[in-house]
Formats: sequence, structure tokens, C-alpha cells
Amino acid sequence: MSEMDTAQTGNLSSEVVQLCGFKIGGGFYAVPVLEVQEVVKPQILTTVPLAPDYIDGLINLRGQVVTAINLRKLFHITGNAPEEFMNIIVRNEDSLYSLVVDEIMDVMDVEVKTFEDTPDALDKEIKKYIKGVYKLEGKLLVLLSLEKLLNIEV
Amino acid sequence: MNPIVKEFLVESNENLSSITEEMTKYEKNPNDKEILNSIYRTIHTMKGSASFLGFKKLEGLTHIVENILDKLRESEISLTGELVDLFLTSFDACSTIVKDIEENESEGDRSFDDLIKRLKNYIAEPLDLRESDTVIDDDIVSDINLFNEKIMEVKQQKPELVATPVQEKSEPVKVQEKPKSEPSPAQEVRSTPKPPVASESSSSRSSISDTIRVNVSLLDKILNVVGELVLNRNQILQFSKMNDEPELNRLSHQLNVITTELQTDIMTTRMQPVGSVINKFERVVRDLARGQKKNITLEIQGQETELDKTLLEVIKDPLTHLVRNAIDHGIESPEVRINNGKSETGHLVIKAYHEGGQVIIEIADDGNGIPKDKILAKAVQKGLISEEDAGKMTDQKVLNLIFHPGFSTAEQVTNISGRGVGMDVVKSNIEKIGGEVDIQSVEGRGTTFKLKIPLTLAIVPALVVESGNETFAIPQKNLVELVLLEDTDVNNIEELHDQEFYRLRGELIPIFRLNKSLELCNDNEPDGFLNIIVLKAEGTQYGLIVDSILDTQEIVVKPLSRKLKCQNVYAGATIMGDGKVALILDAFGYFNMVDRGADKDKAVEELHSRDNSSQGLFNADVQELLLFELGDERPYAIPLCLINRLEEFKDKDVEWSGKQSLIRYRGGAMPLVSLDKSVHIEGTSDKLGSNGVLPCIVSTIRGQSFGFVVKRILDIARSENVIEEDNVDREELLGTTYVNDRLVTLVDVHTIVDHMGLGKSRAKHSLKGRVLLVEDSPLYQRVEMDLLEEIGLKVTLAENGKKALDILKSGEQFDLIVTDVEMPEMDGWELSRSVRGLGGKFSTIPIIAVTTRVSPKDLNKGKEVGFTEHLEKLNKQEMADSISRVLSA
Repeated sequence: MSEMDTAQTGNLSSEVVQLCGFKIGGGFYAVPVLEVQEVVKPQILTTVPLAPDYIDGLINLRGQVVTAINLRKLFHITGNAPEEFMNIIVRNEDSLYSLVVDEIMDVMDVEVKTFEDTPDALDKEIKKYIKGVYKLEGKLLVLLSLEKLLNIEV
Repeated sequence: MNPIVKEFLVESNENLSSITEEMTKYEKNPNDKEILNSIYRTIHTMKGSASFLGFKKLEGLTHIVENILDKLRESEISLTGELVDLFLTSFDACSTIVKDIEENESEGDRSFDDLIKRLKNYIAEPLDLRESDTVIDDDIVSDINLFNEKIMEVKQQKPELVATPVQEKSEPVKVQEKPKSEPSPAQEVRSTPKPPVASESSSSRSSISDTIRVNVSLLDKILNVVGELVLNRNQILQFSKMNDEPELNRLSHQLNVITTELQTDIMTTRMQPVGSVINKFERVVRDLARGQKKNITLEIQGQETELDKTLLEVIKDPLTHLVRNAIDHGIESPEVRINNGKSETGHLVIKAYHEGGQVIIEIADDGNGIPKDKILAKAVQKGLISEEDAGKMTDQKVLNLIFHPGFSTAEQVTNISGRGVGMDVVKSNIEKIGGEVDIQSVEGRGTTFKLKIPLTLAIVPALVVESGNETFAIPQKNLVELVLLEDTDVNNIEELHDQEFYRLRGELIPIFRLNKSLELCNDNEPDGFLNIIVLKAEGTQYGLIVDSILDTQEIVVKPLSRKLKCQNVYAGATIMGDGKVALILDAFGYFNMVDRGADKDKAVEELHSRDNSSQGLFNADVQELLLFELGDERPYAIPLCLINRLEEFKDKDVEWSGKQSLIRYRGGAMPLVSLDKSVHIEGTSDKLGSNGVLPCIVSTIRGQSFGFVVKRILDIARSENVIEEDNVDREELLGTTYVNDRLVTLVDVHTIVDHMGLGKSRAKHSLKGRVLLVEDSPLYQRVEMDLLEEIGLKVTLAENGKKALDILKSGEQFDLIVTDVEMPEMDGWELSRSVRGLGGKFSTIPIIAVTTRVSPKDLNKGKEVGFTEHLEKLNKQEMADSISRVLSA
């Protein structure tokens, strides 16, 4: 019963979501912060022969095998990848994945009302993996759907 | 809830499930009184506890059950199927009550009068019942006393609580004696109990305290924390490596060892034998079989196979469904079975085992199989497939239709299965945990379901290999043998239709190169030798070429994420000692990927026939020749079978002794022979070779190694062409032949060596005897004759079987016949048959066949016609060994 109470009060105030933002190429992207387990620096990679090209490989995260997905390659973002990159570790069902991105931004508090459904103008390679966008001052923050991202049928 | 009640409930649940199992076991072995005693003890304990805790219904029910069990023990009544039914129903009723208590803390208002009435029918005289009643009541009194004692103990020391119910188990000991003590049962009962209680309780207490109950979620948490600890350990290790502080090093080393141990131990805590789930099927099978009037025996194999606890829970329902299906749809009624010429009793086998980093659970029945036409008809009727598609579907595809949601083939919907839900749920449940369901069915013969369950935490021994700079683990389960091919052996790899084959003891197996098939770099391919790993998976054998073989290790199998599941090539991943992730190769998945499909068998056959081609023709032997150039830049050849290795020596390493050049080779001095000079090629200098490098053919002739220096090594070729002896002009040449339409001159290294006067006292005369060599090819005549003479035998030569037979008939004495198979006039098969047919000493004279025909079929034929040994040509050592073997026999 107490759960319902908080949910209702949440609805009353102007709602804010916490997102974990990151950059790939020139774009800004985000996933809900609660879905992120941690962020780690580049790790030793074991390539998976014959896997799709956006699979960077496997990393050992404290004894757990994590599949690294290179979002730059998945989104077909051209241009040179920076030397430094980051792994955002997320969990989906029983597997751990690492989203390989260029740069991590801070945890952002974003007002829900700035949310919009997917605009048509977005690149279709990216569009199939997103939930929508947040229109922030001067920039567009693309909210990724882990569900869609991690269930890509190749 | 009262902790004692809680403990009682947990105990009771466990006890009920164990006596259910025991009861089905007892039904099969009614003579095993120990099982019955055990059931009796358990029920007795439960009755006592229930009475103490005030659960009247449970007490009443268990009381009657106990009495009937007692009668059974005393053989006053005998065990019938109905009685077992009744027992099992009672146990179920007890479970229901226990569940009610669990939920509502009271027994609820269910009525079991009907059941109790049926049970009471088994207790014949009411007087008897009363009598035992009183006795039992005494038991209860003592039980209560015990409980009180226990409670006192519990107050002081909690863990002791566990011992309570077990202690009661000693009670039946005295009850058992009751009926024998006719005069005054009560007294007897009173006099005996104390000592056994004391002794048994102390022993069982110690055994109980060996195990404790732990919540799985706690284990999960510990596992995660240990994972974090491992990370921390790694960092400390790294830090200590950078610091030269001895004390820090020592401590971090200790930490390392302890952490590793802790990690492995925690992993194993979650493993449970599969038996804890599949043994329960005894009851399921029994009940269903009785319900449907079918005779079914259940066989359980591999129940000790361990699986992660969480996985076990998940597979329980799918397994139950499959077992029910097998009984409901699979196994026919006894009448139908007899009509179909089968035994009346159906057979159900549940088998668990490890394969390829997975636990496989097979459920096989010998029932009617799955009628494919019915499935197809149904699928069309339900609109799952079009009629057109139906005609084109393979059998396997048809079978897989049953996994389609909403598919049910049961002609008659029963209360067990056939309600249209099921197989799709089975499949999706198994797939959810990363497993697979395979189905095989032969109509009229039976159906086998194969569940492949990944073992998340399972530990399997594996071979660690390297290929293209990547490390891979291959489960030992698939490993047959490791073959190291050196130098010339590398040429034993044959190619056909882009598929390489290797002849492993006469059997052709396809081989694949791991770096090539996985599109890895090939920088690290070793030079001059090949590592072949012979693997087997689902009945196929194949060879896998890797760069290097590192180690065998116990690896922890981690499943791949769903994203990579489509990669059937890998069975999972593991983490190596250095912290790197390595992929685990799935031997079967890999084979399916690289296999070029159905033409393989044909290819094998083709290769075999290629070996034996031009059968029946003159000189049908295939010769493998090493082609090289000499100073005149023309191609020359030496039979490959005479060559040990190819080497390149440096000019400056050559030493001289008199006029003979020598080189240090494998711990000795080896004479170098310039073939240019030996075969008198004009215009060549005394100098051996050029550019400072001497390409050299190392060969053992008459027991000594020689290095034959040539200008250039060209190639290895197979030639089926006849060797013409007539058109050579000097002794050092054996003849000429055509290889790929080029004329090649064969060099006779034996003569060359003989002419040099270097060969040591013509080898070891280790054997004595006369041998009849039957061989049509001049080349092999030469090679084999040399070999035979080398080991001390006197050789008589015959060019074909007919001549050989004539020689034998003329009365000449031989100790041994060495024969080729493919020969004109009379072949080796016929020769052997004829010789054996002569009878007398000829029926026992050793016949060694030396041939290129060594396929399994040929080997069989060889046995039939009477070959003593059947050897592959080109292998000198084997031949020598074989000869000494048969002669000493």
C-alpha cells in the first residue's frame, strides 16, 4: 500500500528521471540510470570469431563474462573512434553486456515533460533501438531502449 | 510461527517426499524389508511429532498408516498395487495437511474420512487396532518426553533442533519387537527403549550436524561477494608486483591462494545431483502407468550428474511433462504392444550425463513413436503450415512442429496431457535457461527427447589450445586423441573437393583448420609439424588443426549472452588463469558449421577408391614421390617412403673426414651425399649446393642415416604410372615415370649408398628365415627386398600371385609370405585364399599383406582370406615390426 502512495505523489510533482548520459561521435545518448550496473574502463577483450562486427568481444568482469557491444558500430556512426572509451555495464535477463561508448557524461536529472516520441528525422539505424528523445537546451538526448538494443536479431 | 513447528514442517515435507520415493522402490522390491522399516520409522516419527504439536488430523492419518505398515512388516497382509496406491494417497494427504499448516498455521477443515475408511479396511480386527493403539500411545508419551528434552536443549543450543526428528527414528526399534513379545508387550516395550535411543541419537546427531540448510539467495550473494573479492585480490597482486616489499608479496600470495580456494568451494555449493529431481519420477511413472493400465518400467541413469540448483528447479516441470507425455502418448497399452510384436512391458529411460559442456537429460521410450502423417495433417488443419509446405518438410521439421504453440496430437484428450499446452512450454522453458530440446522419433519404435542444459557453474575438464593468437577450450568429453604430424607425415593430409582428409590408422577423417574456419590470422602456424586434435561429437569424428596445444584444465563454463547464442560454434566461455576470457568450442556445433554436408561420405569413398583406383590393372599401386631438382635442373624423385625428413643445412656447418663430407645431426655425424655426383651429372662442381644452404633429404638406408644433397626440393606427388626400368643408362637410377605429364627420373638411393661403400655391415641381421616376396611393382620390389634383407631374411621374389603359388607348390620352403594385394594374373586376396586352401603347413604359414588397401572393408576381407597381418604400404618401421612379430610367434 505504501508503494502506491509514493507512486501517486510522484505523479503529482513535476517528474524527473535520472539518466546515465554518454556520447558517441557527436551525439548524446542515455539509458536509465537504474539499469546501469557500473561503468568501467577498457578491459582486456577476447574477440569472438564469426560474431557480428558490432560485438567487440568478451570481457572478464570479476569472474562474469560480459559481452561488449560497440554502439558506434551498431549505429553505423562513421568517423574515427577516440582512443579512450568507456564500458557501461548493463544487465539484461541473465547476461551482462557492456555498451562501448566514447565518453560518459554525468548522471542527469531530466524532466519527463521534455520527452518526445521518436522524431522521424532520426537515422533509421539508430531509430530501431530507441525509446524516444529528451529535448534539452541546445541538444537532443536520445533515450536508448536496452530491450531493443540487446535483442537485436542479426 | 513457532520455530519448532517450522522445523517440523520442513522435516515433514522432506520426509514425505522421501517415503514416496521409497514406497515406489519398495513396490519393486517387496523383499527389501529395510525400505519398509525406513518408511515405517519416518511415519512413526511424524505421528509422534504431529501428536506433540497437536495436529490431530495428521496424527490420526499417520497413525493408521503406521498400523498398516506394521502389519505389512509382520507379513500379516501382503503388498498389493491397491495398497501402494492407498499409501501414496495417504502420503499426499499428509502433504496437503502439512501445506495447510504452513499456510494457515492450522490443519484446515479438509476431511479425509473417506481415505481413513479405506485405510481401516486393512486393519482386520478392531481388537488388534485397540491394542496397538495403546502401545502407540505409550510411544507418543515417550515422544513427548523426548520433545520436551529437546526443547530444553534447543533453548540452550539452537542447532541441536535439527536432531529432534531424527532421534525419534530410533523409536521403531522397540516397536518392532512388540508383536514377538507375546506375553506382556507393554513391559517389553518399556524395558528396551532407553539404550538404543541414547546411542542412536548421538550418532545421528553427529551426522546431521554435517549439513545445514542455507537459502540459495544467500549463496548467490556470497558468490557475488567472492567475485568482488577476486577482483580486489587481482588488484593487490598487481600492486605487490610493482612493489618490492617481501612482506607484501608474501601476504598477497597467501591472499591469492585463499581467494581461489574460496571461489571454487562456493561454486560447488550450488551443485546438486540431478537425481533429486528425476528420482521423483518413480512415483509419477508408477501412478500414470497404473492409471492407464500400462506396464512400464522406469530406468534412471546418471542421477549423480550435478547441475546448478537454480537450473534444476527450472527443468523440473518440463521434465515432468515429457515423462507424462511418454506414458500418455508414447508407450502403448499391453495389448497393442503384443500385437505390434513388442514385449508387454514398456520401457522408459531417463538418462543424465555430461556432453560438450552441457548436461544432457534424455527421456527415451520404446513406444509408438510420433506419427508424422498425423502431425502434418493436424498442422495443416490448424493452419500452422500450408499443404504445399507439408509435402516438402523433412522428417525432423515435421517432428519439430509439436513444439509449435497450441499444438496437440492426442487423439483423446486425457487429464494428463493433450490439452494443447505443453511442448511449446517445455521448449520455451528450456530455452529460457539457454538449453535446447532435441527430438528423435522412429514410428513404431519409440521417441527420445534430449534436453541439453547448460551448466552455468559446472566445471568440466578441457583441453586448452591456441589458434590464430586466440585461446580456446575444448571439452575433454569430445576429445579422442591428439596427433602430432611431423615433416613428411604432413603430406598424409589429402585433399578432395576442397576438403582435407587425414588417414588415421587407415580411416579417413575430415580435418578442418581452426584458424581458417574462424577467420583468424594464420601468423602462428607452426612450421614443419601439425597438431591435429581428433574430436568426436554425435557419432562423427573429425580432426581439428590448431597452432598449439597448451594444457588441460578444469574450466568453469559460463554461458554466452543471448546475443551470441546464435554462434553454435561456442559452448560458452570460461575465464583462464590470467583473467582473460576464452571461448569454449562446441565440437558438434563447430562441425555443423564447417561440414560441407552430405557429400562427405561420398568424398571419403571417392578418396578410398582413388587410392585403389585402376583396380585390376597392371601395376595399380600408387607411389608417393618426392620430386627434386639436381644440377641439370631436371626433375628427379625418391619414393617418399624412404625419406625421414627434409632439412636445410648451412654450408659452413659441413665437416670433412677424408673425402667424405659430414654434418652434425641429432647427436651424431651424418654423411652427406651429393646426388649430382652420385648419378654422374656432368658439369657440376665438387661443391655441394649453393647459396650457403644445402637442401637435404634425410633418409635411413640400411640402418644408417644419409643426407642426400639436392639442388632444390620441388614437391610431393602421387603417381600411378608405371616405372619404366628399361630406359635408364646407369645403375644409380631406378627408372623413369610420368608425374603430371612430366618425365621424372627415379634415383636408386640404395645402390648409391652401396657404391659408396659406406653402409654399415649391411644392417642388423636380427632375424633369420626365408621369405617369399610377392610384388609386381619394381619400385616396391626394390624397397621391400632391401628392407627384408636388411633385417636378415633371405628373399625370393615372385611378380604375382600365380608365380608365387607355383613357387610354393614346387616345394620350396618359406617361413613367411609378404604379398602385395593389387597384382596382375592373381591378386593378393586370391593368393592368400589359394595358399590357405593348400592345407597342411600352408594353412599356418604367416602371410603379411603390404598394400595401399587398408580401409576397414579391406581389413575385413583380409581377415577372411587369411592374412596374418595387414599393413599399409610405405611404412617401413611397421613392416619390420610386424615381420619380427609373426616370425617370433
